[in-house]
Amino acid sequence: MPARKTIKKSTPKKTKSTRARASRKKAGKKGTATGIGQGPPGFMLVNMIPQSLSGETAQDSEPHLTVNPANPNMIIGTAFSPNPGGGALAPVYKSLNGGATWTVNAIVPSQAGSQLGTGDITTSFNRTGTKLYGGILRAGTGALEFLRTTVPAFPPMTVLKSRLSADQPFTHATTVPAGGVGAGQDRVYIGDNDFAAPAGKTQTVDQSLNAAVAAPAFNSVRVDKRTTMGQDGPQCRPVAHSDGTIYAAFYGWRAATGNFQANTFVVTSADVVVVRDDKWGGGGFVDLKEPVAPPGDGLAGKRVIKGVSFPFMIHGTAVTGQQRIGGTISIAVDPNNSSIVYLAWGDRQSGSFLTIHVRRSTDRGVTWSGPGDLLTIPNATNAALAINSAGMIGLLYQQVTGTGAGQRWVTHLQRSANAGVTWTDLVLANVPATAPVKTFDPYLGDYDHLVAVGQTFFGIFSTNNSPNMANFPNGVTYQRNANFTTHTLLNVNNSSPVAISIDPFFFKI
Amino acid sequence: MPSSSSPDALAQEARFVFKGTVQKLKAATMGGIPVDNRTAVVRVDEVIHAPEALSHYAGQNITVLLAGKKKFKKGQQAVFYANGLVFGESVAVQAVDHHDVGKTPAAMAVAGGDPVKNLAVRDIQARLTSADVILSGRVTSVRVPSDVVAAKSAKSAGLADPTVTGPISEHDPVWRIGEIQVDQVHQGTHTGKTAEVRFPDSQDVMWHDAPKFHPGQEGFFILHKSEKVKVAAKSAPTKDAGEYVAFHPVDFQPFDEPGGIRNLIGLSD
Repeated sequence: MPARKTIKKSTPKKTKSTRARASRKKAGKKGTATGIGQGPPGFMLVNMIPQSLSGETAQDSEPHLTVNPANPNMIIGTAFSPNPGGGALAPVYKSLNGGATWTVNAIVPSQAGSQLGTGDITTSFNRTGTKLYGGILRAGTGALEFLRTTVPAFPPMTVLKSRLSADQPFTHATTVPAGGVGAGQDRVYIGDNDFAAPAGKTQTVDQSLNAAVAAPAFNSVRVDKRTTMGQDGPQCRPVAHSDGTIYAAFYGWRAATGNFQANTFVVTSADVVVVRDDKWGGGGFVDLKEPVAPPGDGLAGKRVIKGVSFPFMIHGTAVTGQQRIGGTISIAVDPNNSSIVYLAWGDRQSGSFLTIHVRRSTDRGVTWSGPGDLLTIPNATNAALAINSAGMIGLLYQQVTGTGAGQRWVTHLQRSANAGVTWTDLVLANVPATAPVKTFDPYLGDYDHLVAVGQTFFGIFSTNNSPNMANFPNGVTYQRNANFTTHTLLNVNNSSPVAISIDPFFFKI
Repeated sequence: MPSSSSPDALAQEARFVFKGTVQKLKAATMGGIPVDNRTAVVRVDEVIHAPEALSHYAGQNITVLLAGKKKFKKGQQAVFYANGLVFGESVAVQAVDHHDVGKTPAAMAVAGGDPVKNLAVRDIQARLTSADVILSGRVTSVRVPSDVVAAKSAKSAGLADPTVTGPISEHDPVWRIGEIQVDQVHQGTHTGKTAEVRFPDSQDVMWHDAPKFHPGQEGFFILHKSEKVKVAAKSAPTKDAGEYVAFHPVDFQPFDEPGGIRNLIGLSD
């Protein structure tokens, strides 16, 4: 049994680096880049706001990213960012040089003049890097829409399907490898919470098994087979392996109490469920079943943990660092072995508003490590797992430390090369949690994201953008104008100060 | 040959209107922009209306993806109607069309030389045009829709879902009904001395910039019929949905707002 490691508090690693001091450019230079090379070899952390948007102060929260598997220099990031040009398309962040520099490109269907840009958004390249797929909640209507565009031209995305009454689309696309049935076909899986689903079993994987054709068909697979309290939670996270194994993880809501609009709502009993389909989703996600009672219930979907509890907040509070808390779930499959899968989820524990747990299965989800966790992290959210081609596990998360004026948001990347026995912690950012004051909920986002291509981890998170090297102990690069001596953001004219806000940050290692 | 569409019509389509001079054809001001015979480097001579992010480019070169098949020459000056496309170390805009210099849209001169204000005024004008009614008055009360109150009561009796009408979602609009004491109707037809306006009280990303009403607020209410607005109708309480809905940031203009709303609806200061 792997040793359990509990993170009691987060202490950022402090390194002294004469290279870092020597590498700092003079304050006030356009495109100031500071603290390069302070982190581990190959580490890069970049503020994604381009120089021409140095004056922007939007709360660019809830980030997500996808890396072109065929060309890892090409990366697309998304966040709650309005179109700075104000047109009828919302933006994505695009890098063509592995994340070193970024542009903001308006290609997502939106609404002219929208201050929002887009609602929830996630995107995914297919395996061959010829298409970019996406799932959004459309600005203006709130409709769930499935999108597609071609690569590398990235023209405005086409709407493949649109319907109302669903939430939090989470997109995962791939392509059937050569030699198999359906070789070359794009497979797209979008997890969402569909309030129109019958009998309150709202957890859904909307999938297209041939998404690159002119008018692809999508079918909705209701993956929660058990009785709910009227609905499930918003998080449904699908992930595909190249051999056609598809996993999805979600919370099945069984009971709750409190008043949502009064911000006292608590899910008192939820199952953390993993489902699996061995045939690219064509089997209805029923290949992972519990044994009949006892000990199980004979239904599809392994209840990895039963009866967890957590708050589901309508808005964040001072205690939660301004961030609304509503659970967190992530699942990752080993690219070398589809039987190995890791799961992270959050629940409420004593003294913690949300605690992240990590566990592993080596038999395709039938049994799981435990009763202890591979990793336990209190007062944390936005868990994102990935596994690289060497079998190394990565976990990205954001943790609140301290209270009052000393409260901080600390963003971590934990990595393990030995199946979770030991972990190496890398602090990406350690910033004040009380500033800036939030403009809307969610403050940092209901998720962030981590993926692996080859042996490299690529990730994205949102946080306070104050240009202070003390906040980025392993270094950071800014494209937007910034004075790291006075800790001041500067406008396009490189002299007028700009208020701090929440920006998306890209990293890779 | 310039566009045959009117300047004002083009201005409705374009967020960024400027006078510019072509500096170079088949060129761009930054990498990553595919360069062809429809790509040009244009110096921005004067910004007429623009969002904040594009308002300070006077005197600078930007990349313009030219519209249609009209040919341009180096040194040619025109009024360009465009939308922001790519923001990097420089800016690329997608032109909708162009006009000869001297045909500046008259409607854009309302706010004088401030291009951001010019655009804001245009946005308000568009909202006024689409409104079913424009009222002035005062908010006297705000309440929870009766459907929601009933749902809560049913929960107390163990009969129904607890807290809201509809699913529990972080994107719940948190509908409220504001009662307006109507002083004057400035556009459209409204009978009665009061008006009920539904608005989203949520601070969620999808609703946070909608007007939030509270008793005592006075101003102009730019209102649309509740049943006409798709998103508001779908997620609305079914029995107590309010006659009107306000969810766009400009749907409420306080009396002390210096945005020229009185001029736009034909009132003197």
